[in-house]
Order: sequence, then C-alpha cells, then structure tokens
Amino acid sequence: MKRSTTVKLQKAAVMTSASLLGIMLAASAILMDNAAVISSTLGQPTFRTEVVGDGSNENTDYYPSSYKNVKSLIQAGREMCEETLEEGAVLLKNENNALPLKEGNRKISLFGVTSIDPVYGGTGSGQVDVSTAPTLKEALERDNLFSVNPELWNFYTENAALYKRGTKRSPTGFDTIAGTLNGAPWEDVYSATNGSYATYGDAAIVVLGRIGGEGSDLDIEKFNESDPSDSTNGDFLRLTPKEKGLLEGLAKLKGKTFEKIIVLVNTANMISSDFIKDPAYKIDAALWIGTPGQTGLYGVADLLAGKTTPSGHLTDTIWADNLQNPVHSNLGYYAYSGNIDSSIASTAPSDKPYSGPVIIGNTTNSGKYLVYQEGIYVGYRYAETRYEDYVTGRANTGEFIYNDVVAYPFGYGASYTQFEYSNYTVDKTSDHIYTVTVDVENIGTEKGKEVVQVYLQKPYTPGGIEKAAVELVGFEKTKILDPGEKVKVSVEVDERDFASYDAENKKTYVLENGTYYLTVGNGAHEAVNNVLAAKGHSPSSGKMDADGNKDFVKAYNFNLSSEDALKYSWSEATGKKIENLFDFADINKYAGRGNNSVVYVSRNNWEGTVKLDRDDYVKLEWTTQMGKDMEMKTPKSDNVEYPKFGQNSGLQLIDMRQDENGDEIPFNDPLWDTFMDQLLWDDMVTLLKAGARYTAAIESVGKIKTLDHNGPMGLTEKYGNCVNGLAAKTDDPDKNSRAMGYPAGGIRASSFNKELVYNVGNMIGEDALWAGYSGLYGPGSNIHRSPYSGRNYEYYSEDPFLSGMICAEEVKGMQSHGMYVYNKHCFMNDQETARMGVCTWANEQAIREIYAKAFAIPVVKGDAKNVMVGYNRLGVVWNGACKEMITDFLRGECGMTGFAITDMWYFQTDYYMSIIDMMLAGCDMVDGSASASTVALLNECKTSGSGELAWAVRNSAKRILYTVAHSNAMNGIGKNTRIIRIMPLWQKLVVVANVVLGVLTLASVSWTMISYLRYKKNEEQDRQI
Amino acid sequence: MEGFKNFFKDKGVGYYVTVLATVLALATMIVYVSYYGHGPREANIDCMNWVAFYLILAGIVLTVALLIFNQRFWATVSISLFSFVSLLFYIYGVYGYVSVVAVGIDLKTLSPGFLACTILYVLTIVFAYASVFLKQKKEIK
Repeated sequence: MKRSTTVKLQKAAVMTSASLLGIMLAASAILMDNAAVISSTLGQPTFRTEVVGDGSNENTDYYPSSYKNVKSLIQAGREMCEETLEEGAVLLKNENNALPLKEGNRKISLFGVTSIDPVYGGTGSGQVDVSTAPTLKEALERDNLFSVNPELWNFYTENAALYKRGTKRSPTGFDTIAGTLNGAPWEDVYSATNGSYATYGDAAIVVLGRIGGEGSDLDIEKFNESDPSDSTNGDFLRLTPKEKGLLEGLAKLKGKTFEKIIVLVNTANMISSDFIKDPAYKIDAALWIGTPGQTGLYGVADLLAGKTTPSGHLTDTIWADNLQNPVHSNLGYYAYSGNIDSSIASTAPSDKPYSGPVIIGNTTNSGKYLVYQEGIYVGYRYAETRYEDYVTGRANTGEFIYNDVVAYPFGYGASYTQFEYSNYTVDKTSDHIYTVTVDVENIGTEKGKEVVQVYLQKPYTPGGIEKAAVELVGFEKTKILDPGEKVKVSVEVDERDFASYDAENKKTYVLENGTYYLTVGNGAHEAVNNVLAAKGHSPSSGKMDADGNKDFVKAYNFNLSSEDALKYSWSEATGKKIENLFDFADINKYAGRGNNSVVYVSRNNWEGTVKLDRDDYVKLEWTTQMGKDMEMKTPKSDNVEYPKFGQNSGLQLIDMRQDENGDEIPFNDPLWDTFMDQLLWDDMVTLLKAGARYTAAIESVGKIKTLDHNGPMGLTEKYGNCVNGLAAKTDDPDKNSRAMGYPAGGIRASSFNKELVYNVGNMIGEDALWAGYSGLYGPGSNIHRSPYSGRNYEYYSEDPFLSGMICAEEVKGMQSHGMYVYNKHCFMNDQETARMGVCTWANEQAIREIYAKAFAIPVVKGDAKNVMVGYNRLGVVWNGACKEMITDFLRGECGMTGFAITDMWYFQTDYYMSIIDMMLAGCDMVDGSASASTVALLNECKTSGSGELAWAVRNSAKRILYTVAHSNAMNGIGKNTRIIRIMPLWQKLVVVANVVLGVLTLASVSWTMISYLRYKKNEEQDRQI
Repeated sequence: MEGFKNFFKDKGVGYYVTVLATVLALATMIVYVSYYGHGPREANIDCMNWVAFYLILAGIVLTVALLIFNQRFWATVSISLFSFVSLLFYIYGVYGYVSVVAVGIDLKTLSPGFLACTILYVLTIVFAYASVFLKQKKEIK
C-alpha cells in the first residue's frame, strides 16, 4: 500500500476513534451526573437484597395489597375513576327536564371538535395516559346506551388535523399550551352533515373544552397585535367566534331538528359562562365534567342517561365574565422598575467562595413579582361578600348586580331530583364542636345523593379584620336516597373555624365579639341569602336576588373575655403559640420595601380598592435590600458541637420501625440518635443532594433506594417498571399496563364525598404497591386563585377548607398502603407564569386563611407526611429557603412529621436555589441535582466549620430515613436482609464502550506512531545507501 | 504584489480550509460568548461553559501561530483538537437546556442563539477535520 494511502487511513483511524472516545467520555460525564434518574427511568436496579441467615420466620409484608393481580386492580381503578366522575360532575342547568335522556330518546349528535378530542387531563408532569381511554362516542355507545350520529362524528375525525386545537409560542419564550383554539366553522359543519340531524335529533350535545398544563398559564389577553390567537380578544376562557357560531346555528335548529341542546363543559379551567343562561343560545342543560381521567367519560354517559343522578357541587365560582374577578388585575408577572443589575453589582460581596452572586437581572425571574392585592377576597369570598354589602347598603360598595358577575356560585349544583330540608338545628355538643343537624328528604322522582354544606358568617367591623360574608366550615354527603326517603344529616363544625387571623394587632387567631351565623345552603350564595333573610332583608329591596330562608340559620352571640378571644391562638396539632410568621412576605411590612406599598382590597371600601383593569396592577420598584436578601448564604463558623459520624452500632433501618412490643419508635427516641450516629457525612449528603423521583440507598444501614413519581391524578406509570413492585416480583402478565389516571382535583373535590376520595387515595396507594413506588409527587393543594392557571386540573378548589378536607381524606387513603405523599407546591405557587423564582407578595391574613390553610389541613387531619415546596418566592425568599414556612409553620404549628423536597431542581433553577439555604431552613432534599458549587460548599463543612449546618444536614437525613422506615419501601426487608449495591446494566455498557474506544484509540495511535517510525528508519537507511 | 503572489504560490486547498476552520472557530467563539456570556437566558438556564470558550480561543491563537511559522500540519491538528474538545465542553454546558426543551414543559423549541452556536461549532469541526486530509502544500510542477 502506498505511504500516502496508509497515512490517510491512519489519520482517519486516529481521528475517528479519538473523536468517538471524546464523545463517549463527555456522554459518560453527563450520564453519571444523572445516573440515579437514568437508572430509575430505565427500571434498572442499583441494588439487590440478600437474606443472611434464616429469615424464613419473618413476615415482611408490612403493607399488603388487597388485590391478587394487576388485572383485578386495573378493573377496580377503572370503576373508581368512572364513579368519581359520576359523583363529581356538576349539573349547572337543566330546563324542561332536558336531562336525563330517557330510553328511546338517545339518538344524539355530538358537536364541537372537543367531542372527538376530549380533555382527559392536563399536560406536564401530572398528565394521564389516554391510550386505553374511551372516546366519547365509545363511552356513550357502551352497552348500546346511546346512538351517536356517525356522519357528524366522521366529519370531525376525518378533518381533525384541520380543526383540532393547537399550540403557539408566546413572545416571552415560554410556549403556551393555550394557543389556537381552532374548531370547525358552523357553516362547514352544517353543510357537510345537516342531512343526518333529523335521524339523530333527540339532542345536540355540544362539547366545549379547554386544556391547561404545567409550565404556562392560559392566555387572558393578546400579547401583541401579531398574536395569532383565534380566541375572543386573546382570552382563552371565553367562547371563540366559532363556538358562538356553532351555538347560534344550533339555536336556530332547536325545536325543528333538535329537541334539546345540551352543553358539556370539559375543562378544569372555568370559561366565562354568561353564555349558558343566554336565551339566544337556547341551551336546555349544561353539565360540567372537569377533566374526566381515563374512564370518566363512561360516567358522563351514565349521567346523561340518568343511570346516575348528578350530585356534584362547584368547587369554584363560575364567573359570568372572568374579568369581573379582581385577582385578574394582578395575574401574570410584573418586572420591578428600577435598575436591578447595578444594585446587584454594587452589593456583590467580595468574600464569596463561589463564583458570582445570585444572578438577578431582567433575564431571570428574581426581577419579577406578583402581588395578591385581593387579600382574602378570592373567589366566592369576594363575590358573596360584596353582594351582601350591596344588599345591606354598606358604604363605598358601589353597585354590584350579582347575576351580572357570577354565573354559578361556589357550592352550587343541580340534580335530576329535588331535596327538601327540614328540622334544622345547631347544638354545641362539646366545648368547641357545633353539631348542625338537618333532615334531608328526596321529594323528587329520581334517586340521588345530596350534599349538606354548612356556612358560617363571622361578625365584621368596618376597618377591622377583613372577613368574608360566608365561609364553608363543614359538609357531608348522603347515601343514595330513593324518592320519598328522608335521612338526618349531622355535620360537625369546629369552633376553631370561627376565628379570624388578626395580622395587625393581636398577630394571631382571634374570636371577635359579635354575632355568628351558621346556615346550610346549596352553595355560598344561598347561604348568604339565608343569613340576609335572618337579618330581615328580602328581594323587596330590589337588591337581593332571591328569598333566603331564616329557618335554616342559627345565630350565636359571642361576648368573650380577652383571654377567651385568644383560645385558638395555639396550634391544635402541637400546642405551639401562633404568631405572625410571614410579615416579610407582605410588601407593606417587608423591612427592605423602600417606598413600595400596596392597598389591599377591603370590605370597608370596595369601590376604592377593587381593581378590575389589568393596567391597574400593583407597581413595585426594586430596592437594594431585595438583592441582598436574595443572596445565597455562606456557612458561618460557629461553636456548635458537631454531630457524631461513623459510630457503628449494628442498627439497621428495619430495626427502627418498631420496638420489641411492636410499637412505633418515636422520632425523638434516643435510639434514633444512636442510629444516626452510624451514618457517614457522605451518606447523608448523598441522600439530600439528589432525589429526582427517588431517595438514595444507604447500604450500611440497610436502606434501599425508594422510588417516587408524579402526580396528583394518580401514578399513571407502568406497573412493571420497578423491581420493588408486586407486578415485577410476581411477573404479572399485565405488568406492562399503566396505572389509572383519575379525574381532575376539582372533580374529586366537587363530589364533596370524603369516603369516595379516601377510596381514590386507597386505589392510588394500591397502584404504588404493585408498581413499586413509595412516594407520590401529589396531591396538589395550591388554590384556584384564577381559572387561567395552567395547573388548576391538579388542584382542588378556590376554598381552602374544602381543598384541605378533601385532600386530607385522599392522603389517608394513599398512606394507608405505606405510600408517602409530597403535597405540592407549598405554597402560593398558584400560577405557572414566572413560577421559577417570582416574588409572590401577600398579607399574613390571606396567607394563613387561604393559601397556607390548604396545606395545613392535610397535615393536621390527614397526617400528610411530606411537602414539595414551590418554585416561587414568598416575598424575596425562595420557598425552599423559607424557615418560617417549613420549620415554623409546617412542623412547628401543623406537626408535619416527614420531610420537604424542592420542586424539580435542574439547570434553570441553579441561579436561585441553594442547598445551604434550604438545609438551614429545614428543607431536606433536592428533587433533581443540586449544583456542584453549592454541594462543594456544603462539603466544606464536613469536618469543621458550621455545626449548625452539620446538624441541619443530619436532621434532614433523619426525617427522610424516618419516613422511609414507615413506608412500603420496607416490604420484604427483614432483620436479616442486607442491601448490596450493584452496577446497573446501562453503566456497565458505558464502561465497556469507554474501554473499547480507548483501546481502539490507543491502537490507532500506536499503529500510526510505529508506522511513522518505521518509515523514518527506512528513509534513513535509504539515504545512507 | 510579487510577494503577495508568492505567498499564495505554494498554498494547497488544505491551507485555505484550515484558515476557514479558524475563522469559523472565531465566529463560534464570538457568537457563543455574545449569546451566553452574560448569564442565563431561556428558562433561566446558564449555558455558558467558560472552559469551552477558553479552549476554542487557545485553539485559534495556537493555530494562527503555527500557520505563521509554517507548521501547517500541526495547525490542522491544533484547530481540530481544540475545537473538538471545546465542543465537548459546550455540549456539557448546554445539555441541560436541550433536555428541558426535550421534556417540553417549560420550553418547546430551541432558540436561534443555541442553533447558531451549534451550527457554527459543527461547521468548524467539519472543516477542521477536512483540513487534516487535504493537501497543505500545492504541488509545483
């Protein structure tokens, strides 16, 4: 071979092998950075268990399943999902007995592109698998219940690409899932299919849908003139021109072609709903079905056919016009005015051990904020209160025509039957419990369930503590009542809920003197009208829109001593004194506020404080102190004695579950100290610094790696994914099936059925056993502050009491099978826009009574183990670094026994998340991978430096280990079980690839060098010759 | 003018490709630091890897020096090696951003800046590698 050819081959060999080796080395670095996540995703174990000695007598099935196989579990889950939708769907309107559609009158036509593309759930981490979900047509035609117009169905399906909803990119760089709503123009639909309407004319069912999801909110307006949105004025939650055209077209056919027009509202994000009552559209019935999950559409079919009677009640106010809701004047993100960058440059300290201060600037969300200017007046708390004040003639209320503002009130729900209440009584049955009792009789012709809702009005003093006209304080749901059947329903109300939070004077919960009213009603509005009636008001004033019933009101006059007024200023869970914790999150009280201030909405001056114009948002300017307060902490040397490490005492994690009597070993038992003394620093840091859907293994103390997954709608993962799961262990034939995705949080809550949601939680707990997961990133307890929030489908309600009580039941069900929850996203992460780092400002009363309360109740009533903290900031403090929230409130006041995890920590959050800050605040684990620089900083404290930080690390590790010790992760682990780390297959392949490419590269280089040396030697010899 | 002609008299195609690769490397470096060098951009992700930047800078400087001193083969090795290793560090710096786009929750599309940097990197390496195989010296008949 010619020398030149040889040289070319050698160049090619060296360059190819060296390049591949370089790529493989870089890939290896990336893969090893994310090793744990990759192993979890591939389902490849990183450890195995081995029984040493005789373990045959040990019963290690601490959390057994009630199911024999995956097939029976799946069937049960499908039925549960269907039942949940049936109980949670809300009948909004039903005129002329349009529903149910009786047998013989079930040949129907489905209109709207959502009919062929239903919104089963949402997008993002909580999305459900719909591969086995029925279409709406399939659901309706199950067992030949309905007959669906095939020509119309085919029109939509064959033209789906043309008409289905799409997505668009917003100018902020974050794609919105709002996008183009699309749809088919009525003219196209009519001309193609009108010949089929007569045959399928029993009802025209219009399906209206909107989808929300993680990462972005729904558009409320157009971004700019070139915004391609096809909504009305850029508002995603308003009928589009095409939808209006469709309804107008059908209205013209009503009575001629179609007997009835029925609307199904298929969304967790409420549309402005003035259209439902608009006589122009001639809508006979409307049913809100939220997002139905995998099999909920079967429930829709049963409801439409009358096999089940709707019994759901709204968990949110449905506004006639969403923009009448004052929260929308402060929704989105707003940039601080002023020069942010220079203030940071001037305050950057020079002694930082890592490069650079927190990056703030206008390219990150540190420079963005949101103010909850509405205070406590969220949802019905605004609408009902301003209505009452309008009726009673309170000064500065202005005109407030309720039916122009609210389409359907919170708590409202219609039925195919009617219920009559009688014998309403309230008795104080203990020192703090009021038992509300009422007889409920089904006086209609269909069987059905009724929800008894109890509302409370507290005495309001103008200029004093802000109070809503009514608040939900109790509820119970009846069993199915046959026509004519009567039951007595009792609802217990805790006097603790009579207290209000006084953030200004007493700085705690107070019971104010005055008259308290307890009432029942079909929603908050009926409750308010009852109280107004008890006060002597009636529609004759021209302001009250309906009669109230004073027979369903009981009044209590409180005249308390100053001591008794503070009887609820101590935590019921821990006995800790409750005091202001969140002044730093109130821009009016934040020490570094500079000239900033906000006027919160006040009942004392509705006209002057309620803002409905989006341009009237609260304007804040940047202060230097904000930047200083955002800086990441550096560990400070102190004289705190270090904890012990590496003191082997032979204790394993399994030994920490129970003592010799079978009792749980308490968290503060000295034996836990002995156990923790065994751990090495590196063991603990490994546990804390990376926990993306898992907790790390610590072989030395017999802790296996545990797995977590999303989300609030259920696990939705494949049962056979994890070796820990029963499906994998038993090699179940259905192990490739996916776990159930349940209906939206709003649907589960709108059932008002505690037993039902407990059963949903129970099923999710069973799914976890079979799929091998110990933790669920859910439920979701953020508040439906606005219907435009993308993740509303994961959360329950605008009301914290309802949200908390439903969540508590669901948590009990989940945790009954040894699963631990991570209730998220704690708290005030109520919108997606700028969620990563946005400064969220609110006053303490709103925080306590609304946003924190939704997270407190699941802990106090349901023993919710863990939380996932929100991405946002409270004031300028990242939630994960907020000691007041995590340590003082969740643990100190609520008694949370588990641990706190961050939200997904990845590249886009490195700029403001710090492992040092979170450790010191009591946040325990990183969901993702902490940045190398902050982990390095943490490790500097390994042997000396900050004792406080070292103890924080140890306490975080302890909380994680304690939680895992009492979870289904311990199933199969006995006292003789040992954990042995193994290298997963993918890592072995990576090593082999690196070795092979290294050898090839070496061989190529060697070949080239030897060849060159030979060539040179020959050349020298030839020259000598 | 004669000196100008003499300068190009013995330069093979490979020489010009080496020069082109060096210019592309310079463009890559400028675009990279301009786009990413001032802090996080999309989704608050910091994609700037300063090792990548300094490697490509070092490669450019060394390559120019080697060309000046007529070490043309080693110039091709220099620009190839430094730009390739710089690319590896660039990938390490941006893989997080790419994964966020792949997940599709917070971002759904790749930014023009990222695309520009990546395309320039690829072009630099393609031409640098090609220069290794092409004749640096014109054969004078």
